Amino acid sequence: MSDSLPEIAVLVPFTDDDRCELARVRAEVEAQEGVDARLVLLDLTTEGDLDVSEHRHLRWTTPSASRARRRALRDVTAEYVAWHSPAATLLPGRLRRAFEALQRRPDASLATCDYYLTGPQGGLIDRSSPACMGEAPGPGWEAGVLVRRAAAETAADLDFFPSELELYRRLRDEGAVVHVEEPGFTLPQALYRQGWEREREEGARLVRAAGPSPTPTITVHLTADAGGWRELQACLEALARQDLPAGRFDVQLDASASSEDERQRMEELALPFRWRRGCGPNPFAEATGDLVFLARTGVLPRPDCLRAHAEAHERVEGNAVVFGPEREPSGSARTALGEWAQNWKDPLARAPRAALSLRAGNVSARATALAELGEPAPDSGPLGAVDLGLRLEASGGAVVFDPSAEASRATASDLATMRARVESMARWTDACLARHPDLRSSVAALLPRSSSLEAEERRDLERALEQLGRLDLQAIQGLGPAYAQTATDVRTQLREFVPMLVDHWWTEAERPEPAVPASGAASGAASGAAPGAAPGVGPGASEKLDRAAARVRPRTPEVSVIVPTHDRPEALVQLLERLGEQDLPADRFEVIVVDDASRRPASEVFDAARASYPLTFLRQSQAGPGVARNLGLEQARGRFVVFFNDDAVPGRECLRRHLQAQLGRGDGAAVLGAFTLLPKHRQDSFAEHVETSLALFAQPRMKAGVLYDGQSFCSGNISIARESLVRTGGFDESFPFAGGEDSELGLRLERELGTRVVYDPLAHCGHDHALDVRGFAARRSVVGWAAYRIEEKHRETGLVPFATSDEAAWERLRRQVLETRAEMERLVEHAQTACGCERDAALGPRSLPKLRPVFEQVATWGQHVGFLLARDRCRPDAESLERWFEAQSAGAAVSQG
Amino acid sequence: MTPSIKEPGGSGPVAVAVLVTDENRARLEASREEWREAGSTIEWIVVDQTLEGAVSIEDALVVREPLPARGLGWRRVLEFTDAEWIAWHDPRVSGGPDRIARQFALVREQPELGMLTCSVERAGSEDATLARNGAGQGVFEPNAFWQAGVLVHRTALETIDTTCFAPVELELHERLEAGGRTAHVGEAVLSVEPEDWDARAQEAALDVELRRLARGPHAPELRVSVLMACHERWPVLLKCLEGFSRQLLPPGSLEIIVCDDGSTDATPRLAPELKLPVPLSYSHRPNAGACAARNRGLPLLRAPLTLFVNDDTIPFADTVQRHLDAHRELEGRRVAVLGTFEQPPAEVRNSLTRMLERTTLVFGYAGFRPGEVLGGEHFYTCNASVPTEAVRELGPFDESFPCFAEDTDYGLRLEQLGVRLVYRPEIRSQHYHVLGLQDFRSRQHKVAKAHVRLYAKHPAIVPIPVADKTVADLRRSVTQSVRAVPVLEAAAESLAQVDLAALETLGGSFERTARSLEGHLEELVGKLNSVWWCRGLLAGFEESGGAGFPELLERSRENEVQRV
Repeated sequence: MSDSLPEIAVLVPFTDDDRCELARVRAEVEAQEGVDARLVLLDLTTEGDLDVSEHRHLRWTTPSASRARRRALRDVTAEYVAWHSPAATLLPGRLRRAFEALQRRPDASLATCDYYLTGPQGGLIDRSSPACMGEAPGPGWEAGVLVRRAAAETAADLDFFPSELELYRRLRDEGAVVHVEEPGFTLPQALYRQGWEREREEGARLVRAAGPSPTPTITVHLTADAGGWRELQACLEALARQDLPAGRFDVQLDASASSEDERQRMEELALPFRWRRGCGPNPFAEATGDLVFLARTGVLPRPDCLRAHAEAHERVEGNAVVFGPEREPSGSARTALGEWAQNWKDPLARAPRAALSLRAGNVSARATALAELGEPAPDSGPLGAVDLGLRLEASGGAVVFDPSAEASRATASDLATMRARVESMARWTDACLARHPDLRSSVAALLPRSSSLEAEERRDLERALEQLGRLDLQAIQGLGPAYAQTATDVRTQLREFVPMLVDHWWTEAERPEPAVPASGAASGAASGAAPGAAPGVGPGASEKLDRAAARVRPRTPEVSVIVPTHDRPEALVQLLERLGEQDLPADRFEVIVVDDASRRPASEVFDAARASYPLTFLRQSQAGPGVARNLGLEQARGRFVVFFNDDAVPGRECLRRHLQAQLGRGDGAAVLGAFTLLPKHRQDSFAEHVETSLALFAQPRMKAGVLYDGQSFCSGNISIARESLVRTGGFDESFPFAGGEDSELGLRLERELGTRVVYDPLAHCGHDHALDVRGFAARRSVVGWAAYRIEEKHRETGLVPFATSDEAAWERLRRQVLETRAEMERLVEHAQTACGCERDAALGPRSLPKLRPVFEQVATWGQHVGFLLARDRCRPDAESLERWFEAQSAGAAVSQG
Repeated sequence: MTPSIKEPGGSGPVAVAVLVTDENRARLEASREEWREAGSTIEWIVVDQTLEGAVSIEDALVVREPLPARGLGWRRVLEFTDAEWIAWHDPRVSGGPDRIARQFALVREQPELGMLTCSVERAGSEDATLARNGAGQGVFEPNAFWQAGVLVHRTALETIDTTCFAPVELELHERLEAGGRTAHVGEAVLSVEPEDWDARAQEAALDVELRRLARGPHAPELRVSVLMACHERWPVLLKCLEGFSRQLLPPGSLEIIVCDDGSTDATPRLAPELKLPVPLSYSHRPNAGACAARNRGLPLLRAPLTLFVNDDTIPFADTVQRHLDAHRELEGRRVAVLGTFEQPPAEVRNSLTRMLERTTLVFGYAGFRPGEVLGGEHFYTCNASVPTEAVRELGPFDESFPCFAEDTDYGLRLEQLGVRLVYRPEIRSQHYHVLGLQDFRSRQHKVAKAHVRLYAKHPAIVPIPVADKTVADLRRSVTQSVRAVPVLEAAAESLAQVDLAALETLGGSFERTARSLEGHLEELVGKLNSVWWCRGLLAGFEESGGAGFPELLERSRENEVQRV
């Protein structure tokens, strides 16, 4: 390439998964026009053996692409640096356009660009624009960045930290970001969709990092397993993602089992929290925090885990060991063996005593209490926590279970992993029992005794079960009854035979020589000494956990769900049941149902005691949903409020997604979730029209992540900070109908607080409502009525077609509405019948192309009626509407006469 | 008593030579360890004949020899040692050091000897006479691994033949035996694990047969030309060439013509160096498709019978003989003869492979009857022989066809020429190409796409169920299946990997599960196959701008009328 062209270093991080993209990325970079693009590969693969002849090649042991990009600047001389990712496909003009944009704006230092989203077949199906997304430029945006070197050097040099996003937000606030509207690359839409969750989390971390930095109150004691560099990375990343103000915890890393190579890699880590390596024989005495959290590679605390532990300790009396559940990451059990392994509990965990369920990885205790106990048991693996728990119990402490303190742990998905897990657990269990011989008698019945399998039988069985264990039963079972039967058979076989192998592995596991040679005598003495100990298996595991959980006082909810309801008992019951199935822990939200004078009081329809979450019923004399929500708001305690209609059917993740989305934003935007008709109601052209147009809701035409104006506020499924509602005074009570009152609030929220509305389809609700065309016309007149009132109240809202003072125009509209009334009646009747036929004959929305103009006409007409009603100070209910029409026709007759 | 062999200073009088191939490589370390533990200090020279060529081992010299010729390998050893005696060794054989001591003791008494053998037996074998070499007094009976017990003098070794795949050790033994320079040390016994033994025993028997044929009269004339195109599959090509080099035929019966379709792997570097027991003509041209490559080979055919094979066709020792027999039996009729193309037994454990063997989704074999006259569309270039005069009459393969349809076209043209295709299942060959579900999917897509052109040329073979399908119909069925396909594919992918034999071993309910898994896979792949075909046909029509089968048939009818 010619020397006169501007040189741009294109930094592309490559991980193991991206290997096969190398050739394509090279070709794309070489195809860039008008610039001298130099590919710089950031090799993040485990082996570090990318084939990179003729290209710059930088090898990183750091696991994070952000830091690799930052550090690459040391070896790159180009004045401009482009970010790119192997998942994206560069378009040939991208670098030139970004370069020109920066040339035109010497004060700007970073250029972003639009990008296309591609479907599964590679076709362009959508477009994303970071410039109109506010705080979050959208998943994958960084693949379109060109940045001046000097600016890139100001990015944070940290692992597991969203330094790109931080840089972007900082530069954007300084006005130093330019945007190229021409799309610069393509990205698979599937990746874009998956990326939202992470983007939101990263946003939340930046919001937290910007807050004040307190002194650490939690010390994480992280034990690294030998050879577990990847697991260690994952664990450190999980810690970096904790939903706690920066600096609330520090980490002490026990890397005594790590290899020399791993320790060298640790030297290069730059973590976004305080940490130190190594510790003495009694590590807990060195803890700087009040609380010690025992972490272990292989177990990943969920983002709210540490916080839950800290809160649990505040809510129990005295010294306690707190532990939470270890769950498999959702969707991880893709194999039959994985499914089976999810339910496998090692023998000690099956014992009726809570302390025996403690496993390092998700356990915490007060530092002072631990320091007094002295050195922890050596070589006891995760069962070291059992040792601590038993000793703490002996000194008067309690073992407490907090179901909301979740950690995830990968399940064994194949037989070899399962075997390794069983064998090491057998060794640890032996070591634990050697230290606590008095336990032997109570757990003896749970321990596998001997194996009944011959060597050859075992080998054949292992081979066969390895085959069955690898099957993806989830994929197979849904294909028909015969397939489901096979899946059941395989599950039965695994249930029957894997335990035989487990017993075999357990008894045959290589163990070090027993430390206590007289263990038989010791256990005999212990069983004699403790005759009261429960023989065999006592109460079930869940009962044990319930008892351990009962010691914690409940906490204040973070989310208040407010549901106004009026005469829809079935829908309400369905909604309240769905709220019981949320994956957000039940003590993190509350539900307030405001009964707007239903004939049968809502509190009778659903027994509040049935709810697993805090549920309050309020009742008012009929005053409309806006007033009802205000009443609910007075009682709400959560930091965020979620409004649902009573016919909403929230998905399992809905509340969690709302909470995550709220925590991930620094701009206080309202988060509008999806609100789609349930399939049973989506049987005709009209329902199809509603789902694909703006007829009732704005969501069908909205794009995820884009900031919309306040009028898009729609109360069916939306969350917002409670403080914003309180500051604006809630809903205007002079809008007593369902329709428009939410837009009015949204308008004020935007005008007074700058609150915008962002759409998040992941917070998904179904809509259980049978729609019909006639009802739709009526609803549109309510909306028109409200629109006119809003215009009168706020002016210049753009909601009405002409100024309220333009008498002549309104009179023309009035004549037009009256003249077309009969025709509208006919159209509504016709559309109603057509849709009825489609439903009855299960034809599907085949007449939609013909009916769509009809629906649009009806909508416009209904809205116009609403405008005129509001102008004439009439209410938009059915009765007043009829009277208004009578009066109008009479008036028309008079004026004509 | 173990006499000390190594003399102080310099090379000892004996060196151990090991030819390492991909078959025995895994045992190398353990074997070296065994010798070390036995206290042996004899130097080791390892000749690396693996494909990858990355053998390294502690305290042994490693010499790389990329060509698979054993004679060449043994000779290379001589370049690296001054030892007077070379002890051949194979890592799969145990009990080595002791036998060298015994053989060396005999050499001291009879210095005129050139080659000493010893007994090698199948470990745990009850009937030693069946599974042991050198059983008779003074009569040498080679069996599996007999070479691994040989001590040979370097002057004798210098004369070993360097032809690939030939029984060169046996030939050397014969020559020395004729001069009275061989001896057998029966009391020195090496042993071999049963599974290794069984695999090699057949090879050893074949070696003996091949030597017998080599000593016999030459064929009066060349009888068969084996023609293949090859592409980027050196390891499999070697197996294929090995098979055709070891046919049970009088010398001079066979020639091999390899047309390299632009391979960039080891093939162009090593193939010209190969010295085979049969004449080999190798030519390399840039990649232009299997058709073009095969066409380049047509003018080179010299024999009256042409055998078309793939580069992954592994023949049995009698494959070519049986082709000749079949043509002799059917003499007087113009026939082409099709033999089998089977997956190796080890692969038929896998559920997908087993299913493809049992059904007609890839090859039609599962539906053929022995001796049946087949339609020309079943002409597969993997194991089919055609009289060369018919080949010449027919002319080249149609190079305008993409891969996967050209042999069908060729077969149909053969049929039009009046050459009948006869299926003879006793003419067996193995197919060293195992398909995963993804490979199978993309294969079916390509085949279907290629078939659009084929159907345009040969409308008679359009299957009746699709004859009325337009592009719009195809597109509709593809669209309808869009949602279901990923679900089916996920399930099929999981089912395709099952090792059914592992379940069958246990029997009982596992056997039943194996049957249902097998049934499910067959059903799913059946459904998916029709979708893949639909997509492929659609792609084919899109490429050719056609509107579907009715139009295609109409147009070919018009062409027919014009021609008439």
